[in-house]
Order: sequence, then structure tokens, then C-alpha cells
Amino acid sequence: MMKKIITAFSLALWLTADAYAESYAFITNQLDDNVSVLDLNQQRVIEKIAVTGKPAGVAVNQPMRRVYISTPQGGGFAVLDSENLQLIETVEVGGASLGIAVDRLGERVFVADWYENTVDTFDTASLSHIKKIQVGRSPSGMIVSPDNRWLYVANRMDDSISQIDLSTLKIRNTTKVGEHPFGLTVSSDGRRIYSANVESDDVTVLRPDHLKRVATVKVGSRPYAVALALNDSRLFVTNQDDSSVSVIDTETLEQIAEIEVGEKPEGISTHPDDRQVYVANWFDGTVSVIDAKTLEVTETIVAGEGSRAFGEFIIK
Amino acid sequence: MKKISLFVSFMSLLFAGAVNAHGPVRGKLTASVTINASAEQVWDVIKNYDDMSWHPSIKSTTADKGNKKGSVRVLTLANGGTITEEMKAYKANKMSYKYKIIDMSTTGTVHHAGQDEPIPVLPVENYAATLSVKDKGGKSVVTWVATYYRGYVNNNPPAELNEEAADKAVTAVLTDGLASLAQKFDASASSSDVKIKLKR
Repeated sequence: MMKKIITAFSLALWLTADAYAESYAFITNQLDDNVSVLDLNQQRVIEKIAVTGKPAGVAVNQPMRRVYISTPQGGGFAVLDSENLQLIETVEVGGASLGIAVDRLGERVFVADWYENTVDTFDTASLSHIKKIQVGRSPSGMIVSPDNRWLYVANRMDDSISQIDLSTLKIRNTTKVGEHPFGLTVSSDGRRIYSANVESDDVTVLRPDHLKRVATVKVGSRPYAVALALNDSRLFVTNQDDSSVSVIDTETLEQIAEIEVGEKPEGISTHPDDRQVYVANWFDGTVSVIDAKTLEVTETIVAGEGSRAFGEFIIK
Repeated sequence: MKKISLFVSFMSLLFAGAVNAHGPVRGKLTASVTINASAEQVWDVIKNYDDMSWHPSIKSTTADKGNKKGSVRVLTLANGGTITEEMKAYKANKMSYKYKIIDMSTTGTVHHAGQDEPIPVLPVENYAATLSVKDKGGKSVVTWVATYYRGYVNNNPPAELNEEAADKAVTAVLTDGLASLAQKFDASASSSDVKIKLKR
């Protein structure tokens, strides 16, 4: 009897561990009109989900097991089930949606519209429209603060970042950064915001209070997006025109390495282990996996044509 | 030209729709040709960044730092136009190099949506390309891949600066170049031997 219980218990544990260990990366292949699902344990593509409209941006809703894919040519976004790996629904937004983000509770999804200069907010349960927020010109990357109070938006053509209060859905503050900010990320304590500035070839580091600029760090050519790893000690920046990833020590705020990846690296996200960093290479249609500790590329995985994956694309 | 560089910056990040909708999508055009000569022989003809004499549309080429990364070359076209390019990577062991266009002369303007829009000699924006040679059983395969956006940044481009114009122009440059290269080894080679694959 006891033995049976123990067996059942260990089986349950094993199942739990296994389920938890399942992590996927969702890579938008813009030229293939699909999304490759990369199993991070096997380091290979296990599924391709057709998504029309030139899929570009990605956001994962961890609590609801959903993934949102912006479709610039489809004028909206697609909703994927991250367990069944299927397209559930598509939602119309407006002009050209690109940047996409989810709040930390998984209750709201934010879609930046390139031409309308707006961020549209949707309820994730009903997929109904909550509010349209006017922001700066060509809103691009977005990220929600870990305490779920703020949404940061890169206004690319305005060279600025806006901080939106998620309780009122109004802009609280806007600050100038480098030229053409694109991808954003925020540290897990919420104390630092990083923007990749495409035209000035640098990264701006901001503090959330009054959006004060802390530093500007030079990186490679046409930086696209950013991701943190190793307990936020290192920032990884994709340099589109150098086919490389710059590594910044977040303590000294200096570039400590430049790692060669595939051509036209764009989207970048960190594995739940906080150590492996995944980079989508648009030109090569591959994903490079970087070990944040050794700063070496450990894998290169074929994804599809025009792999973009702009946003947070890994679900655990 | 100032305006063009502004365009370049704007263009480079647009992903939005194509043809009838919401702005440009980056295209990827792959041209390739198989030549009955060793990869080394073919590479020998095209390996010098400051020598584009193998391309029939290019009259002269100068480069400031040879085959080094960052080397800037100016191509003077048969029609007098110029294209300025920067070397991004050179890999002799892989017989490949890549570069991007950083400046171009214009052929005129088109009046569109209340403005005079300059038309670059190659009606594209944010153009980057890779040229490489690979051995294939004693023969060689030359592959030239170009990525670029259309020349007009906003919705509803004029015909001179839309996707079709960009694709047509780039297809011509790559096809003429590779066909001419193939002819150096085989007089009967022609543009129909160049395979073109466009993805957008």
C-alpha cells in the first residue's frame, strides 16, 4: 500500500517536473507567414503554426497559456494556445500592429500601432477592446514593469520612451532617449529600463522614477532589441547590421563582449533558466542560442524564413 | 541626399504591410548561378571589393580600405549614377563578403502626396547583400542575396518607389551580374541560367 502511494507520489512529482520543464520559444517567420515553436529542451522546432499577415511581434501570457502574435499586414494580432500549439483567434486592431506586450497578470494585452501612433489595450479573457491610448510617433517595443504598474513604450520616430500608468491607462511621463528606440526590456526589480536605439547605435539606460537617464552605452550597428540574463547582470543586444550580439555588464555599463551570431539578428529572449539567450536571425532564418556565462553560441537552430520574433517570445 | 538618409532610417524598421496596405515589408531576393569552373577560380574574379568590373552595369569601382571591414566603395554606374557601399564582413575562407548601401545618387524626383520624392538609382532602402561562392562537386554555385525595403516609406507608394519597382531593379542588378560572371567561364551562359527567388 505504502509503496503504491510512494510510486503514485513520485509519478505525480515527475509529471509536475516534466510539465514545468516544458519551455517553448515562439519564433515569427515573417516571410513564411508562420510561427515556429521551438522546444527548448530538445532545441528543435516541433511545430509550425500558420499565421497570415507577416507575423512580427510576440508576447507570451504565462498565466493564461497564450501567445500573441502581431501581424503588421493583417492589421491586428493572432492568439495562439501555447499548449495545444494552435491558432485560436485573430483580432483586428487597425493600421499596422507591431510591438505587442502582456501585463504581468496576463489580464491585458497591448498592441502598438505603427501608423496610428496608438497603443490599443485588449482584455485577454474576452479579447474585447478596452482603450486606445495616443502615444508618440511610430510606437515600437513595449514592456510592462515587474510590479505591473507601468507600461513602457518606445516611440521610435520621437526618439522617446513613454511610461503609461496601467491603473489609468494614461501617459505619466515621456523622456528622450537615443535615436530611434526600438526594443525595450526592464530589470526584474523594475529599477532599470533599457532601450536599443537603432539610429544612434547605442542603448539608453533609464530609471523609472521621472524616467531619469542613467547612461548611454555604445553597441554595434543598428541595435534592434535587448534581453537580460544571469540575474540581470548582463544585457544582450542584437546588432542587425553587424550580425552580432553585444554583451553589456549592467554593473559597469560597459560592453564586455561582442558575439557573432547569424545575419540580421533581431528578436532576443532569455530562457527560464536565466542563462541561455535566444536570438532570431532574420536573414538566415535561424535561432542562435548563447550561453550567457561562457558567452559562446552553443546551438544554431533552423526556424524559417525571415525569423523576427520581436518581443518576449519564450513561455515556460 | 539628406532626405534619403532620413528615409533610410525610417525605412529600416518598417514591417508593415505591402502592396495595398500599410507600408513596406523587407524583401529577400536570392539569385544564384551554377558555373562550370572551380569555386576558387570564380572567387578569384569577384573577391576584390574594389573591383566590380565583372558586372556589366558598373563602370568603375573605388574602395578606401580594400577588403577590410568598414571599407567604403563607390560604384559608378554606366549611366553615371553612383552607389556607395560599406563592407560589413569579409570571409576569404568561406569565399563570401557582405556589404550595405549607405548612399546613392538620384535619377530625379516624383511628385507624390504633395512632395517631391527623390528616386535613388536603385529604388530601394536599407539595402544589404551577401555575395558568396560554394563548391558543388567541382563546379561552383555563386549566390547573391539582397535584402531591402521599397523606396517609399509611407502608405500608398508611387509606382517609381513601390515594391514592384524595387524587386524589378534588384532582380536586374543581380541577374545581369551573375549572368555576366558565368559568361566569363562559358560563353553560352545567359541570364536564363540565373535562378531568382523572392520572398517578402
